[in-house]
Amino acid sequence: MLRQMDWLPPDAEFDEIFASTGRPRPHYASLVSALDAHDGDELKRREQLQRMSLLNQGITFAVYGDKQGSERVFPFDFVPRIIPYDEWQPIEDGLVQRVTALNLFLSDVYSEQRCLKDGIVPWELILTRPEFKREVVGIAPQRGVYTHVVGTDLIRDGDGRYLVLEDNCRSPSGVSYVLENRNLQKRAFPELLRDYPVRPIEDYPRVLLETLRHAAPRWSQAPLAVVLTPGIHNSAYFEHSFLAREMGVPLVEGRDLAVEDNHVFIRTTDGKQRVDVIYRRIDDEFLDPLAFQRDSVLGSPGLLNAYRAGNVALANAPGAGVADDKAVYAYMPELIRYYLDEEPRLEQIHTWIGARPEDFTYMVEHLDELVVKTTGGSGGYGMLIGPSASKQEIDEYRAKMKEAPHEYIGQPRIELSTHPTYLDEAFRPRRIDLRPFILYGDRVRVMPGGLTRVALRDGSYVVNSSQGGGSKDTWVLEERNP
Amino acid sequence: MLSRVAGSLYWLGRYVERAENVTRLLQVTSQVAVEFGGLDDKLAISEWEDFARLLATDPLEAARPDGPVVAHTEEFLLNADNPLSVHGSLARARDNARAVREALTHEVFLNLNAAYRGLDERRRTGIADAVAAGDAVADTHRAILTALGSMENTLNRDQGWTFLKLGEAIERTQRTLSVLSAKLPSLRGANEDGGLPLLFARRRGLLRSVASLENFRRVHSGGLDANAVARFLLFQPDAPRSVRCGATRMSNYLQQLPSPRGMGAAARIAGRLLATLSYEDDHIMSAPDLAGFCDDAIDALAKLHEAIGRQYFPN
Repeated sequence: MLRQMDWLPPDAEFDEIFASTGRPRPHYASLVSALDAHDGDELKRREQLQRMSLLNQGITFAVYGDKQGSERVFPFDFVPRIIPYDEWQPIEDGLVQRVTALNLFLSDVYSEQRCLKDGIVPWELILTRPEFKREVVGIAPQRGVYTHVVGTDLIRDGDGRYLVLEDNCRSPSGVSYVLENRNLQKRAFPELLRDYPVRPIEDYPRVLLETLRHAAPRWSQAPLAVVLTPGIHNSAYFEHSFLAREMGVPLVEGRDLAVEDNHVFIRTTDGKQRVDVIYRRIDDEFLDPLAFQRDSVLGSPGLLNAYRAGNVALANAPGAGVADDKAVYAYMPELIRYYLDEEPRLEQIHTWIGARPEDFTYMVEHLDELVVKTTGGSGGYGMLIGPSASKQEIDEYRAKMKEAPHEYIGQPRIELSTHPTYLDEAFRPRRIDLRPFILYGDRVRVMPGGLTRVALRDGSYVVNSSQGGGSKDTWVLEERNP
Repeated sequence: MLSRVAGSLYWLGRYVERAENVTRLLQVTSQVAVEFGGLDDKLAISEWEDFARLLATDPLEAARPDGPVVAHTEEFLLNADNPLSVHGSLARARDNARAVREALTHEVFLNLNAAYRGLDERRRTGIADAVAAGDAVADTHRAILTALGSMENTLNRDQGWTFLKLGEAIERTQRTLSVLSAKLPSLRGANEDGGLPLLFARRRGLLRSVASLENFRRVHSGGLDANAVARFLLFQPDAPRSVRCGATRMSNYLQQLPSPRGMGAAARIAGRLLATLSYEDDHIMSAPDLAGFCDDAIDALAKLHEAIGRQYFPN
């Protein structure tokens, strides 16, 4: 029984469903009753049903460096996360503001660099980053948009406040799981959705295609957009294939592309066909061996010149990665004020920056209290969670940090909110975060909800799919509350 | 469409067809061999030898204590390391499907994946005896047919479909030809005195191994004359597994595909084969031995396969 889950959130933590044991928050009341109407056997049966359907549908991801066969399913938990309308609206407004500012920032650093000259952000922080691409300085992307797709990670602190954890401006993944989770939820627990006015999300691929076509450089009735994938062994291949299928556009690999006279073509059975927009799911470094990494076979030689000539749009634009750097994150509130003359609508976590000597000193002295990450890193690789690390781990990490202080940032550990999750035939509290997806086409649009990731291991804070995370369906409710 | 996608769909068609063919051959051979077991050991063994010859591999040596059925099922249905096995073909079919999932429907991938996963589960649990072996083969066959049904019923009849079916037609025609070439000589030349019931059973097995027994009966009720069987499998225009039907399909599919400069090499090969089958049937049947024609036709299919690759997916 969910209501009798034997657990109370400690003071510093916030549980999404329960204000206290047995007392669900109002918007969760129907859900708790509906789940508690089933006995243990029935819950087990439903869980097995959705597990089978995950396997049969091949909803999998690859784990790098994993020896036991590289394909794994991304576990799905059937207890949905519910976000009421009045809680969601400020998030949506805040994300629109943030993504607008991120794009103004990118336009600026790749043109006049006013924010560096005005001293809002130290220039060395931007210009020395590998993510800053000199190759595209002075090249304005179509319609000034750098980040057509952004995934911004949010967490909730002990008071239930939503805080931005990080922005992902390169090629954030996870949206395919959001859409598949809704399908799994509908199949395994059709009755749960009956009591809630849940905002639909199925049109994401259509909006994504509109966003991509909006970026097309030439006027055409139907500009050709393609999804560029590194291939079947990439961890997010399922998603690349899923999005191409849902949008009805070709899924291409580097070897399918050819660049001639600064125009990009795909090789078809009927000769070459011109491409207008590439939704690329490969990093900048691999896009074009002539411009970036020379031994890359994932991209296509000459692609960057075609982009510079304005003959093809790349989504997201090359160089956009500099905006999601963990050090730039620290300056986001300032940047929002600078470009928009507005106060940030979403709060974020205080951040110490290794590049600042006084911050670095604080970090190495307080490693046991901080969460330390490498700038530019992602996927939960290479981070230290001080409060749960051993003394030896901390000492080793400190030694590594001293080799390259500017590559690290530190943050206080924020207690992620917990959400009851069905594991081993019982409901257990597990920590969660939220990654909403934001599309920037003719305007900025936010998909209702996003990917709720859950750290399935007891006591874990790491929600990444590669490190034992799972996910939940996320319901944003219409204005009418149940 | 993308050349790479066309190539994967072509191979998908071939591998699913191959998996289906080998599953059925295994099923029929097991049944015929079991039937002969008590009567004539040598004949039962020769059925398994024919089976191995059809897959162009060596016969399995040591018969296990629980008999050749379990041994052959383990090797040719379940062995993941044997590229000739059904497991091998389905794994490749699934790899190709994964690589072009965006060009398929949800149902096609779902059913193909389920067929593979079901078989892989059997591989892990193993099979205990001949009954379990028969069960595994039957289940696999059903799962493959379900996947084929979902292709038939959910895919657009577009260029991708044409490549998929082209691969299927070539694979299937090649199989019919190799079954004929392996089995027919002994059935045609055999002395019908004394061994008629056995001979009948073997001819029946031949037709069943290319899924044509019922179809043959509908055209030639009653007996199973060796020449009539050969004619049926070679020339019957409306039998889905006859060589002529295969050649017609290949020719039609190739006409639907883009060809920049007149008739391509592939279309020429398929057209020539179809003409031979349509107009030279009496001449072919008058030869003392059909193996010569079968070998030439298999050779033509290999050339056709190469020509398609050169023309549509050169990388």
